[in-house]
Amino acid sequence: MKLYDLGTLPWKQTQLVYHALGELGEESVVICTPKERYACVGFAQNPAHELDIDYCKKNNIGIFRREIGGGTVFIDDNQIFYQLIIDRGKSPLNQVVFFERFLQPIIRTYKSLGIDAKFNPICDLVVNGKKISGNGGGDIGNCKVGTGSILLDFDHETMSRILNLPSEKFRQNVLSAMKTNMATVKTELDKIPSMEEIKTKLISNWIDTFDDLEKSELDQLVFEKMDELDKKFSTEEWLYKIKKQNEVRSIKIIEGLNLVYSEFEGIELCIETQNDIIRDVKILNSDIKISPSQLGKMLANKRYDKTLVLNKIKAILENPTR
Amino acid sequence: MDIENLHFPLDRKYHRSHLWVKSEGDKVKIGIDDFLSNMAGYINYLTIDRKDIDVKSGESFGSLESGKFVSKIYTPTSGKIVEVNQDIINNPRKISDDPYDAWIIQIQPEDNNKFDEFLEKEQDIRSWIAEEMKKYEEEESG
Repeated sequence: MKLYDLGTLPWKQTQLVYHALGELGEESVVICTPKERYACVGFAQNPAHELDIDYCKKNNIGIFRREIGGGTVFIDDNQIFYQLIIDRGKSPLNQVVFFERFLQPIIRTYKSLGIDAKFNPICDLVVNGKKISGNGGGDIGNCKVGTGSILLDFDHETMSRILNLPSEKFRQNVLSAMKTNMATVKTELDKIPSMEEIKTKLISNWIDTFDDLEKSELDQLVFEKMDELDKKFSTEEWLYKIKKQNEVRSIKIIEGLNLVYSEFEGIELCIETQNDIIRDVKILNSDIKISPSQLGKMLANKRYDKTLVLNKIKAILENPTR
Repeated sequence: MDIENLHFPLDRKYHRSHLWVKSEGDKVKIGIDDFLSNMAGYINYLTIDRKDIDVKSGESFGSLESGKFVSKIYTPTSGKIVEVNQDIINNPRKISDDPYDAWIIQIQPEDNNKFDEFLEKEQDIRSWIAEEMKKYEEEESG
């Protein structure tokens, strides 16, 4: 099994490399960091729905739709990207078990830095309830692939800015929720150890996991496959001609915690749900004469359902003193 | 037929990749069995590569995403995809509600296909699922 410590790469190569290795059936671990920042959406996502494409283009933020799962991520040079490519036949049937095992070297790396990261199913790592790493996976060729990144620091502002959101007030709520619920190496240690120090620990933990792991360099075949895949992944058809998700705009902040945007007759709401149960309701327009506490009481602890929310607003508008 | 909390109706054949096939005239419908449906949990997204293509047994014909993992679906039999269930593509969560009603594709199998690799006798299905459950428990316990 090969270990590719690729250092810093042009942004698109950080995605193409694991797709190419999976297609070629080459079991390996890859560690890399992008030179340039970019946005990456999951297989089931349409960038036109998820991202503010104009903003990304104007600000030279690359856009990639990957072949594996998970949601929209923003990746820059403050992250160490790790990727595992393993034969499908050797991998657990259960995806949660796959993620839990795949993430053990990452958990040990965080712990060796003094950060008590824990596995939070399905595939997050958390510290003190805050997400410190999001991950995704999928079948590529005859391999199973898992990817994620160690967050040294995180640019919440740009992340919230690249998202295609229905209102600026909703964007502010998303930004605030991300800041509250996400952790990084910097927030936990008040400093960032050198990238080399973290990578040395990470490599050592991967070697402890796979004792046949040997450091290697990418061969010509991998580069040729990356070029071939780049053509496919750059087409409009791959990027944009996929079914759009449902109309409800919901942003997953961490596993289980979502902010949902809802609008009825000009009333804009930001609804916080925990495992689909409504926990908090904010009215985003300041000029609406409707009591947030009245609405909150009517919706709290109910399972989120767009029709339910709209009916409650309607009821309050029809009978504000109730 | 029930095995613990899993259901395996005996009106169809099962493939070891956890897909079922059910004959309807000279065609077969293909879907996901209860074991795979339970393991996957809610399916967020389902895509089928396309209709009117010839597929060989073992080739991927689509993908499904559940729990941030995208799994390929491999056809258990060779033939031509003649129909795709758009209702399931649009509402993949229906697979979790009833995996045996939620067929995914319909195939016109090749003439010489005898479905030899499929399981249909109750005892064979019980033995196979018992092995799968054991494997699954061993994985979970590490």
